Amino acid sequence: MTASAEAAREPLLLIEGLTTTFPVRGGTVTAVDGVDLVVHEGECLGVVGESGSGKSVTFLSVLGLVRHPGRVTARRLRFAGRDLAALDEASRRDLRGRDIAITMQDALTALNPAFTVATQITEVLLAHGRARSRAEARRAAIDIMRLVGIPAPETRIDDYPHQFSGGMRQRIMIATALACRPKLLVADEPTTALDVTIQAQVLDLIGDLRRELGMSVVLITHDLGVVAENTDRVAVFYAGQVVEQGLTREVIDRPAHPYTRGLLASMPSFDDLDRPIRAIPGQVPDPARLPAHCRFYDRCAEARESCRVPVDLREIEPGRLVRCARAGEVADV
Amino acid sequence: MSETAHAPLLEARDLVKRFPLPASFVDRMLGRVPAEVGAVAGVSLAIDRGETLGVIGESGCGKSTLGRVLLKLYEATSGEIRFEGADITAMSEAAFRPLRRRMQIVFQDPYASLNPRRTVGEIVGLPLRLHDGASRREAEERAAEFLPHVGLSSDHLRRYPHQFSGGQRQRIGIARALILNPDFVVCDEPVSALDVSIQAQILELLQQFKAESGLTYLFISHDLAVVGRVSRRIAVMYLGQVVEIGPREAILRAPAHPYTRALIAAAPRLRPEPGVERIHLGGDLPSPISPPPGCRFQTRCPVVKQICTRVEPVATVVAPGHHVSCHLHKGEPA
Amino acid sequence: MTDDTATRPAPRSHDALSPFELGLARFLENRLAVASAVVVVLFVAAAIFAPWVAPHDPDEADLFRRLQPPAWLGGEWAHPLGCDGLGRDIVSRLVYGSRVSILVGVLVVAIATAVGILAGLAAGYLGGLVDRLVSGLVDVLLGFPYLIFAIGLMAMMGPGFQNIILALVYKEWVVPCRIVRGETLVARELEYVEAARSLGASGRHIMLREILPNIVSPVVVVATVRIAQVIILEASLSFLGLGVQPPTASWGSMVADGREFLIDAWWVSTFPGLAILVLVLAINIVSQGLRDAFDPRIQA
Repeated sequence: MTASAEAAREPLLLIEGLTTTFPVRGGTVTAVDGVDLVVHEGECLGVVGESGSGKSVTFLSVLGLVRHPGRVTARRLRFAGRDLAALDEASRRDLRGRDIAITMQDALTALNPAFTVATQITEVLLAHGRARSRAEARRAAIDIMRLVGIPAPETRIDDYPHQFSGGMRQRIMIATALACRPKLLVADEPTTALDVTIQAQVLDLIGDLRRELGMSVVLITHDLGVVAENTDRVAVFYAGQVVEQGLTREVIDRPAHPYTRGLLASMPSFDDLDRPIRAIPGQVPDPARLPAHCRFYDRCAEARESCRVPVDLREIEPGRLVRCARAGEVADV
Repeated sequence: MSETAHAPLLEARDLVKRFPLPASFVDRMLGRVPAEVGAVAGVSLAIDRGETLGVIGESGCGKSTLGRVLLKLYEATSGEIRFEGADITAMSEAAFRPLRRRMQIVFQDPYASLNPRRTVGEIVGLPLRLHDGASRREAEERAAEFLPHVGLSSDHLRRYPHQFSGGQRQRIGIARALILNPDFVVCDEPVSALDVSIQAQILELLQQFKAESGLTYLFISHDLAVVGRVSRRIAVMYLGQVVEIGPREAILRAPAHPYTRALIAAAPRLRPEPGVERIHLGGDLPSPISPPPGCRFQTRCPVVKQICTRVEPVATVVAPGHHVSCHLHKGEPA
Repeated sequence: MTDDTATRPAPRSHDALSPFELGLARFLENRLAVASAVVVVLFVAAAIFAPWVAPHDPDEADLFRRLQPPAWLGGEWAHPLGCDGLGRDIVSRLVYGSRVSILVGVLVVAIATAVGILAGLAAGYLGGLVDRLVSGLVDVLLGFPYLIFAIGLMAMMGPGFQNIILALVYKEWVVPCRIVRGETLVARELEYVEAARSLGASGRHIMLREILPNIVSPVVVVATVRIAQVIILEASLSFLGLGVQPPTASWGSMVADGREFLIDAWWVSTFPGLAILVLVLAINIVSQGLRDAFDPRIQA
């Protein structure tokens, strides 16, 4: 195979063996532990997990946003054919915001309350050389605000973040993120703080923009329903690891990992109101004392003595990865 | 059957709660009447003994305020609240105090709802000290006996709230609300702050108490699936009013109000029905300080008519026990 | 559903501690603060045990030793820091003077904090008329510069130990009152307060047992800083001759006594000045340590 063919098949974002640790009193917390993930050109990848599962930290690590004293290591970290680990801080900063953009959960704290929306969007455009003058940047900012569906952008652009409603603020944050037409948008819980009707608006907006601009989206969320409706593929996180990965439809219809199954069984079903919900017993393990064996062992209904071994993520069918020692045996129950 | 057997456990009629906005100095000098937020704007509902009434709505719709007004944590601006047929609206705090042990609340935020300076024993024992005149030791002993009922251990008695996870803290809050064996409990978004797998644990716990002691719940949530799971009847709130109320199946399977329809369509599903388009609600919730005239939903309604901008709709019966406030439906007034 | 919460081990070593123990552990890790605390304790001990610590009678004048320099500048080791204009031993006067400074500081702040807590709790929790009265009074008092206010009061009431306390408390209570009122306004809306109300707890129970324990840390932290402030204010009043009256030793009046000899006998003013500086600095460092350990939210 030629080198160019190899490059053409490389995914937009390639993460291999990503590990992020934080030193704490008397030990280390492993927030992300050996995560392998890819994001393909133009797809929407759902990243789902409960709080503390490492789903957000994974992408903060990729973007180089983990602060001291956190430590990030990876076997391979490539974006659009470039080695991210080899980049210096300046090139990384340039990449951030221009080629990869991130939106945070809480738009009110993520936007600077002291500056108008105009200032915040034009700043990004000017910093990344996407506009040559303030006037040009302002025109581009108005366009992007119109794109994300803010009514009367010509006048509203001079408002401050607090003058917008929650849903509108989320749109503005998406506008700031999209200002430079990134190849990849990482949306970290973009709708958690919003009401369902507004959530639907924002998710539809992200979907429309993805198709229009041809970008890839990583949708980080704790809500499997949001994943089911909005993503092509999904990675399920548990205690700092990916435990299951595959096409969204397949993962939800035929979950292969006991945790994914437990998660689905613990959600009240809208379609079958009287289906009993089954809670997953127990708690997520303490990230400062993770067991060497399967991390779901203590809560798993299907655990056997043979599960007390370290488990790797393995491919059970093409594109379908599961981190379970018994994946073959109990996949279809 | 006697008359009282038919009386609902709790009943609200035309309940209104307005909060005055802080007036500026200039306004006060000029003697202007301070503006008010109408958080609850004329709600009538009845809850039967032993049932769970779900209340659903988006943030700012007044559902939490409603729960607190029913418990007299906020004083109603007007309207009437009846508990076992007796009017409690104007009761003084002193006169109402004995009833407090029978009407309790479980809060949303497992962090803010527990006093960080009190041990679990003190928190769970407080109701006993206030209502049963229990001594410190007695209260602690009875709290220790009660903790296993909420899935905690009596070893946890001397620990502080910060030593527990969110789910465990919610169990402590539930123990505090239920240790006096109340009749009526307002559950104000009790699982919204918790992770999915923990949510199910708490829902199970609440269901289990209900099965054991015939509790009556007012279950407030923004999550349709959760409310659908636990409630027999559901009330849908929008901008301070109940726009639709009825049996769970009617509300979720045959919603009559355009807002309820939009809410149901917007809820993310695990298995989205192909071809079913989301109903797009334009815009945001109008300000409750100056709600629109006529129907409060008219600014976002996809099927708005001329009449909706002028006339406020009244509750109409669309099926037995299923009432809706919308001009689309003609029928008997409820 | 039997989850394993009961058997779950405590995740972190600090978890088994009460909030107070947690703060104390953090404070003890701050070496500078602990060292400063030792300095403060030494000053307090000297004040309490003055008759045993002081080498001489602080009021005993000896005109033969008038302006005698410190021992290392040709004086004698019986009077290590020299003597003042009346030949009184400076070490002994410093030791006795610390009694006035520390007692005034502690008493004023203690009384003011007690008053401020009650007023602040009432204003914040009850609101309405009570709040308007308290807040109005606070605003009026804030309008006067502190020292000038105290000077005015002292001029009206006349000098004396009791009057100093009164003159300073008159305004000092405003500081804790504002903090307590603000914190109470926040705490009043918290769900655990609402929970207590839903259980039928009385206003007194809620104010004293639910809210107060949670706002006591910022109040204590501020109180320690204020002790240092009040010590300076007392020294200023005494310096102006409005404080405790001669012959009772006070650091402020000692500095004033030495003014006329600043060139020839600098030690008379300098050592009491240094005493004020060291004690105030030590208290401030302790207070900052307390703040970092117990209440990371508030800023100086």
